[in-house]
Amino acid sequence: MTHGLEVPVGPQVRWHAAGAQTSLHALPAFRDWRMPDGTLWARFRRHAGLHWVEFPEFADFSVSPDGAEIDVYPFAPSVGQADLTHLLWNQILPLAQSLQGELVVHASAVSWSNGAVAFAAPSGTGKSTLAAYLGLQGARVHCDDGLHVLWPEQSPAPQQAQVGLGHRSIRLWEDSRQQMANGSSVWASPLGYTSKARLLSQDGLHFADGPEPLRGLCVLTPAATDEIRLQRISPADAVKEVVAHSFVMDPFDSGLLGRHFDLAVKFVTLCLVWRLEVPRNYDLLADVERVVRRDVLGERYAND
Amino acid sequence: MQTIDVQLWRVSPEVMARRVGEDAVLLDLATGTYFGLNQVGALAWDLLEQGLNLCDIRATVLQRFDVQAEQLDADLAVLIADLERHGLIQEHAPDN
Repeated sequence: MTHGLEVPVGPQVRWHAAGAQTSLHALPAFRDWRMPDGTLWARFRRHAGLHWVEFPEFADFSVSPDGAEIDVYPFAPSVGQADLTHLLWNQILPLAQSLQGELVVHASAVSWSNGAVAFAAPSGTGKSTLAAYLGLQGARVHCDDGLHVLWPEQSPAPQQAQVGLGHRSIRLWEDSRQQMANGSSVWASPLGYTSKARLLSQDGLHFADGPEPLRGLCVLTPAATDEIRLQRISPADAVKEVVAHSFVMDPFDSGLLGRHFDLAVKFVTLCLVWRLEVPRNYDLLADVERVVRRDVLGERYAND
Repeated sequence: MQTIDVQLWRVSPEVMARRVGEDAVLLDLATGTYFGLNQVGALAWDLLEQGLNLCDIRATVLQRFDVQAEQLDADLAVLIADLERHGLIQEHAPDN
């Protein structure tokens, strides 16, 4: 049963009837993800050789050890299809890809004519706002939350990592949505598990149609002042940042952790990593764009 | 009792070390903790992995880098203490 949902290419996804799987929740968890306010966001368990990820009030997802099979068990018929699709694309698929030896970074990414730039950050630091702004200014949006890294051997571009495609939507908090809104924007309802509104592909926002060379990864940090600062991160620190901002199903699995470490090292040899201090001031987003395009992409402006 | 100069250390089998540029990054698989080393630290780590004692490590680093011997002694002492404290290396007796 597909529910008519948008299903990612890759793992086989099976959908089950609501309420079919509720017996696991007494088992101990090996990991929790929590929202910035401490609310439980996802709980991870191991059972019957599978990884189980519970999103309270929404669904259990099981993922096979090789990441090739995903089963979805909604808790109730009332759980929205958009919620399940979004969880599948933005949380479960990246975790499954980590089991398949892929690197997926918690990052938004956009591209211009001379390459893509990604923005990694914890929730609430502005990576979606920045991607939405840049998308509305004409950049092509690749992803909002899950940057799937494609390696040179997977693409025709030698010596370059590439950014793949994610779900075609951007989620924004209400304050960002109000700042971004313009006459041509089409806003979807917030998902059930978040108060973030979604900005979908339409006339004002363009999503990428294919992979693009990734020219830089910017790790966003809030700036204390209105000064925008962009600095290269040392390779060793860059590896730590990439690991910290990427999806790993089971960080207690030393084999998986080791493979993930090697992917982060490989990424850093192919892509420069920067620290970008961004003021929480929407009026400065144009300046942020200018700094990123000038220093990461090497574009030149008349008054530089 | 041996002096520190000829002490030997064994690198933990739980540690993965990778070069990135001139730096190195260590991952302790037992704890999931990452450590970054600058180029001098990265060379010292390589030499520890080869089983060299501190005296030989010191000589090799002095040969390859323009660094004051006193400063290097202090930096190596801090590095070795840090690595040992985090369980990345353990002291061991030389094989007879």
